[in-house]
Amino acid sequence: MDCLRIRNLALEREKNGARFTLLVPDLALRPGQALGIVGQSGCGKSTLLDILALILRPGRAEEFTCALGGNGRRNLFSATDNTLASIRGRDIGYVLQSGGLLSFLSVRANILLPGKLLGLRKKTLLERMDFLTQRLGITDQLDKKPQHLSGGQRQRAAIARALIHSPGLVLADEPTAAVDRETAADIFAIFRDMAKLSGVTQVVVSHDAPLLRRFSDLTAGFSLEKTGGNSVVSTLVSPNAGEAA
Amino acid sequence: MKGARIAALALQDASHEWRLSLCMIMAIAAIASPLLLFFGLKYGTVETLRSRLLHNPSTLELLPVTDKLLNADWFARWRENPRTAFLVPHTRKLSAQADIAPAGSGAPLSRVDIQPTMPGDILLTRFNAPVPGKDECVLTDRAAALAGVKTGDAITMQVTRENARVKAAHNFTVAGVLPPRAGALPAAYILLEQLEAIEDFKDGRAVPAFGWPGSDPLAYPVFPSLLLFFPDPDKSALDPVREALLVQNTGFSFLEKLDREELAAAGLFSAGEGYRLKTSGAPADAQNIAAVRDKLRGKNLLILPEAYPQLRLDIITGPDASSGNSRDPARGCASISLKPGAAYAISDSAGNAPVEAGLPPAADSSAWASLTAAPALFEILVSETLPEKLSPTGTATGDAGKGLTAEVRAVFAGDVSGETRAVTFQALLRPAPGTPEQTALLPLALLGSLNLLEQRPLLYGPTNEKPSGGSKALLLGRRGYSGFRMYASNLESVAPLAQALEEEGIRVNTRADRIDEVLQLNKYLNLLFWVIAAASLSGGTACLLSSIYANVERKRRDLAVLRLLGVHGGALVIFPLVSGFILTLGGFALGLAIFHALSAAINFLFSASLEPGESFCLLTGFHQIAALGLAISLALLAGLAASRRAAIIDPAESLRDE
Repeated sequence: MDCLRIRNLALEREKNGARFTLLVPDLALRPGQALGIVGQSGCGKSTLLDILALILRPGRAEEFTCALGGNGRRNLFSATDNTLASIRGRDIGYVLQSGGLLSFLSVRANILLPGKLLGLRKKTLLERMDFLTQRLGITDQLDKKPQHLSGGQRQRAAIARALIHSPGLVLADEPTAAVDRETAADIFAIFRDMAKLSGVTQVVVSHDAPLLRRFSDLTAGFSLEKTGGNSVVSTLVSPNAGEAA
Repeated sequence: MKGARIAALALQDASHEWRLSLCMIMAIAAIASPLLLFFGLKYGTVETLRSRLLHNPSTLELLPVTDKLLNADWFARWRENPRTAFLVPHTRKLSAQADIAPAGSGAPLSRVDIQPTMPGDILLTRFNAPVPGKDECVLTDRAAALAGVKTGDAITMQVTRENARVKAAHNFTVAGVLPPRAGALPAAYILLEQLEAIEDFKDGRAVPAFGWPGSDPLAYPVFPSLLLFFPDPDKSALDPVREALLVQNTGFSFLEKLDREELAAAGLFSAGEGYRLKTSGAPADAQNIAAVRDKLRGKNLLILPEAYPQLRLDIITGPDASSGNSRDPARGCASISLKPGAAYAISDSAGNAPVEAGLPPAADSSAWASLTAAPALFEILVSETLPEKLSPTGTATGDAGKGLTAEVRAVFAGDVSGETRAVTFQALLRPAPGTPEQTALLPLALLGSLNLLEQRPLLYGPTNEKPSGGSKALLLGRRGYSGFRMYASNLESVAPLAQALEEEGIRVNTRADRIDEVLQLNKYLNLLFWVIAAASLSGGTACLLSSIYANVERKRRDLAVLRLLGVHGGALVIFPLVSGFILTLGGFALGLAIFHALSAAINFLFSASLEPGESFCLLTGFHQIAALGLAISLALLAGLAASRRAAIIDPAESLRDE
């Protein structure tokens, strides 16, 4: 069963007089599948990720549903803000470009935060954190503040935070944008391993198409079409199988 | 749960960015501390002034500025007034001065005012001084300094009269010394009765209790009217010139012609026609009667003085043994009321008594000559049956025919004022043939003296002057007091009491103007405070609002991350609210600490002008809690405004900053 299903979804945005329309004709992801999204700047990668992260509502959608966390299929298009926030907190993990860690919390507190916000048992959380941080190799960084970590370490900590509460879907927005290629490959590998290990569906956005293809089951891109002076329509092209598949 | 977690995150954020937090805290303290200090100064100063006014009895004092004779009933009535806290009579001011010096020192004398006191004197108790007992005094600070004495020392108090030709002294023990705030004048507080003794001495009277010499205040006879009648039934009238002379320079104002029937109604059955000579206002004294007698010389007109109709005599004896009951159960006594009359025997030239009463004959001249004498035992003529009625309980002196001694109470029941005065004395009741049943015939001197009850109290007590020293006589009682020292029960009672006294014709001085000044000062300072507070609070609110709002803006990315982690907008508003609360609490605490340090310094600097327990700069616990409540309310208000921004943060926008 698909854990995420989108059909004919559209989002229109207008900024500084320029109109941008994102169209997703069809997208379906199964549990544990890794989708890599590539594309040039301004094609709507991050916008798609925000829609998937439920922090942007599409303008229309024939179908925009998910089946995460064993709660059955839920209509995300018509869900209330609070429901979306609840799904976001419980079933989705998010890795931002530079980690998105809270600077006033230690790495440990950052990693534990999603679990604590969900009210998960402390023991379970600590065991899960030990497992993740050992696998991510940041066990000795836990007491540090994020600003005292390297870019790679921050991303590892962000991955641990995204996975601490065992979400069904993990989204990563340019997770390797701020690190060198070697570290990027390392991060992708760890991310991929950890996701596979947890059986979590991944959606990763990146400029680095070769790297993304290496570590994704599916890859998808966008086709851009200028429909007027300042109007652009970006359509998600149906995913193809990646090298990892 | 989520809310508590967000609050904890806000705390961790404030702690993490402690430098910024400290700056905010100091900014808030910079607003709070001057406000607290200003309010503390306003409250402390006004409260100190108010407290001094409230606790200084002189604020509650009402001092008469006009002399008016006030009797015991007046004082009793005003003491019952709930607005009156303390009231003590005062003698004439001129009589209330004395010279004091340490006892036996020979040191120069210092002139002090003597103030009367009695138990309950709030001036003394307020300043922790005892109410002096007999032969004790409490001095003001100035008086003690002048005399060079302290509590426990003995002083000699000297009083003089007749231009200091007559001096007398008495020793007092200093029971206490009042602080300077109790009064700047040199004064000594002594018991009222001892001040009365000083006044008596200054009035020329003896004061046996102090061994001071002087005269006895013997009661003297006065009469409101005289009956003038011709013993010769054929004579009926004086010539008009003589009639006119009787009301000129005699003390009498009215002459009323009486026929036989009218004289008979007055008890003179065998007389010819006559007159009633009446006074208006003050009754006639012996001198007035002498003037009348002089003007009637050679007219063969007899004079019979009259008593006030309100005067009665109660003959009181022991328990009524004959009936086994008592007619006056409270005292176990029997009493019979009689109308007093003059036991004045008149005889005509033939030696026949023209008066139906059949009194023992006595010379006209000798009866009037004894008018001022004070007999040791008054002899009262009563009906022949009266001693028998009283004899079972009376004490016979010799044979029963000579009468018995009894306690006699003369009562004057005022018909206008309702005031009743009485004096009780010992008298010999002697039955006399012809005396009417309900009448007691008194010697002229006694009847006239009892007439004085209309004007003033009388006492029956021992005399001091020789040759009658030690024997009892009717003495003049105190008519009243010319002043008083009164204290209202509280500030609010001062004005109503003053008004009520003025309605009785007694003008008083109060400190109402001072009370009003403090209340006005409080009002103006309040106004000033609120103007400054309003300006500061608006500035403070703007500062707080902008700081918290800026904090939200600064934390936009973090708040967006929290939204990404599933925190919805409703829970997210807790973050700025808690931030504002923490910063305000810190700022207020710092401001309060600064206030306490500065107020301690101010109070220390002015400590010389403050009494224990007083502060120029003061905030009560209630004020501090109220100020904290206000600050937190403002912080929450500012936090709420800022939290609106937090609630509408678009994570998609904020996270793009990444």
